[in-house]
Amino acid sequence: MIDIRAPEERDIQALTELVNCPGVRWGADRLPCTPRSWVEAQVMRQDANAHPIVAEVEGRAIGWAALRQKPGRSRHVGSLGISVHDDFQGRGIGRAMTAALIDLADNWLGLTRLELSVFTDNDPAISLYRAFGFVIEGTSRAVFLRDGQLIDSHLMGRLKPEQQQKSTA
Amino acid sequence: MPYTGEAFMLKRLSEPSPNVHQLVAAWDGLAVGMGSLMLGMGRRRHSGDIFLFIHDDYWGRGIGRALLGALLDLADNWYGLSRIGLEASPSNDRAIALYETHGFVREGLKRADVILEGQLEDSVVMGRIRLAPAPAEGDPT
Repeated sequence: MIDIRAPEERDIQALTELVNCPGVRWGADRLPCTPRSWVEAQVMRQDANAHPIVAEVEGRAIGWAALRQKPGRSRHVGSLGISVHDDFQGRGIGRAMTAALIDLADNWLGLTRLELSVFTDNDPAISLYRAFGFVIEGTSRAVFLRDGQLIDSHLMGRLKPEQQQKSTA
Repeated sequence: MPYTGEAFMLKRLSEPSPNVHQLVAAWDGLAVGMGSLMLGMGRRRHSGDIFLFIHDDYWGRGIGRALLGALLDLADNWYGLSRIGLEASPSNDRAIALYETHGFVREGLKRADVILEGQLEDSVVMGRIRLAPAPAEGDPT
């Protein structure tokens, strides 16, 4: 049973463990040895344009994700970031969090465009995002260092369904 | 955005971030163009994103070219960056052509990315890749 809810102070330890998982580091823009204090600052920060969630399984936060609304002339755009603890991969947790953030974007915030970036070899994540209507809009070359090499990242975007026919691309 | 006050620019100029390198282009002593190089953090230390704009009355005088040249000199010869990224409006053909002559390649198109005159407009994503600096020639002993 997956519970999606807001991050709370009591999740800081579990989320520190999550961001330091080798698999999370592999798939996200994270460095080794992220301290608890960094996670605490993220969890405690109040930002009207950031909408973070956690996924809880058996009383423990094992997924962490956020929707961030952009400023100014891109107020209609939200960017997504999603991480799942290594030991809980393949159980639909990323899917549940993605669905929750898309519901937030479509039905609560009324955002027109969602975007995210994903490393080009992260096939499970790319398939998941495609299933939610994201398409690859481009590929930034040599944009992140991973295991000592510069790797590419796809830019994926999803327009709110009724906007699709208005798109130029 | 419309209605940008002096306080916005004052803050930007007086409290510069250590990861943003800003410069202006002056024409007869008047600042008519501005450029920024934003350095990447963490696993993006090798990269930077650039941004430049020029006063409407001074377009077509090579100011963009000069600013871009200065930003790329900073990136290549002072910070030693491997990747520079930028975003441009797809309707700004002259800017895109300028970027292409300086080695930028179109990497993607963000649909409905920004409001322009009441309409949602796409953004062109461009990138320029360059090898990181090698050791200077000479006998290391």
